[in-house]
Amino acid sequence: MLPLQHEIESTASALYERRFALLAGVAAQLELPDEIAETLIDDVLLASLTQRSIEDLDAWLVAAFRAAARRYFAERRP
Amino acid sequence: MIDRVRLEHFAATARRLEQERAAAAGTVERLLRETPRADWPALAEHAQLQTCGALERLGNLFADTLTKDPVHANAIAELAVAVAEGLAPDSYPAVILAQLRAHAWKDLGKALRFVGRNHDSISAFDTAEQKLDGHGALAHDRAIVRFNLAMSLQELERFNESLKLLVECKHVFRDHGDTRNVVLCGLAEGVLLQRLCRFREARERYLLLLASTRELDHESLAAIHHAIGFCSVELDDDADAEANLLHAISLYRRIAQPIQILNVELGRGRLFIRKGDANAGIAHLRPVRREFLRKGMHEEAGICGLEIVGALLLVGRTSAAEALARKIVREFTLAGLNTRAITALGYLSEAITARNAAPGLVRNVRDYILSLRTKPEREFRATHPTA
Repeated sequence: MLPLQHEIESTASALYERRFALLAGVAAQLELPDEIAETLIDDVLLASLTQRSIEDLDAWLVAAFRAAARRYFAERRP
Repeated sequence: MIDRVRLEHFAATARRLEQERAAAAGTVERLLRETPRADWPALAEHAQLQTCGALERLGNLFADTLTKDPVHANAIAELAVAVAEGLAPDSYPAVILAQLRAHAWKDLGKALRFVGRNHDSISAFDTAEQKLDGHGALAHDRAIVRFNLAMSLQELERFNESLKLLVECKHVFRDHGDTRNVVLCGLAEGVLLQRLCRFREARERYLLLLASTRELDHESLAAIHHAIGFCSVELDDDADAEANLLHAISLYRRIAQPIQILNVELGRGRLFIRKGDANAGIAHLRPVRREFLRKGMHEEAGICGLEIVGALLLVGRTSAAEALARKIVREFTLAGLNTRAITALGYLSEAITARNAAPGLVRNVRDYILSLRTKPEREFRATHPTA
């Protein structure tokens, strides 16, 4: 692995860990089951990789995660 | 609890996307430059284009080109759709693949709207939205698609559906901290009011947007001032119209948007004529029309030409008006534009030849041609009395 690639990957890992914690906190507030929360967090974080013009990515992630959780609950509603 | 496999997958994807973006910089432009446009569909098979980085690059080129050369932008969007649809299902994480395909279709929908194919554009946006189905995390992407759908619905005069979507999208954009798109929603609401001829309400909406949004980019600011200027022309508020149109031109110049400048200049020409200075309007509009023609925008050139025809009739230069009207008929015919538009223009030419056309008939024909963008099957009826 080239030094720059290693740097990108280390940074990405650190970002994943920090943002996972942020979104896990939101998931706990929303009382999402752990397995669902982890899947949705992973989806939201992957989706964020294509967002290049959003200034406050943390706010974007929280909004995206809340929207995903709303959809999950709506789909489970009888 | 963090799943290490997911974390490593995320980090590897991040690295891959950065590598692809670096590789795409320059490569995509070179491939497009070196390949005749007619052969672009074959480029979809080119390995260097079959990446997320290349698709993002195509998306950026599309955005840069759309208002300058919609036909060229349409070709870029068609290529991007072909590339995105050709990607293997396991080439990227499902959520990213959905984004890539949805945005490619969304861009194609925008291009189709710009070239007047509004029904096709709605189909493209429907396809874009389908690509996002099942991905709850993509509410923001979905709102971007639906915002564009709302714009096409306006073109088809489906105003209530459009307004409902705009309100919905504005909430999503605000939730996601996307100020630029919040502004674009506000602008679209104003445009909708303009189309309903509610110019005072539209202008108030734009002024509110200026007052309530702190950080506006040049493009949004220019669009708002253009819109305020347009409303002010209709409200006969000359000073306000001139100030806002000039401000819009200055902003569009800074961001190099020549077609938008031409559209604003068309508004200024109309302003001169409405103020009673038809000769100034004619002198102002002639170079604008030439420039539209030079860019192959025959319909816009025709609309601009009709403003000149109306002004020529106002100052009694009937022969010049007749000659120009006939010239516009020839241009529309050569460009293969809607035959109904050509028929209406022919009717106008004959009325001028018979010395039987008032400027009101010119406005009647102009409005009819504009209405064909949304209702291409509509029949022409001369609703304004001839002279």
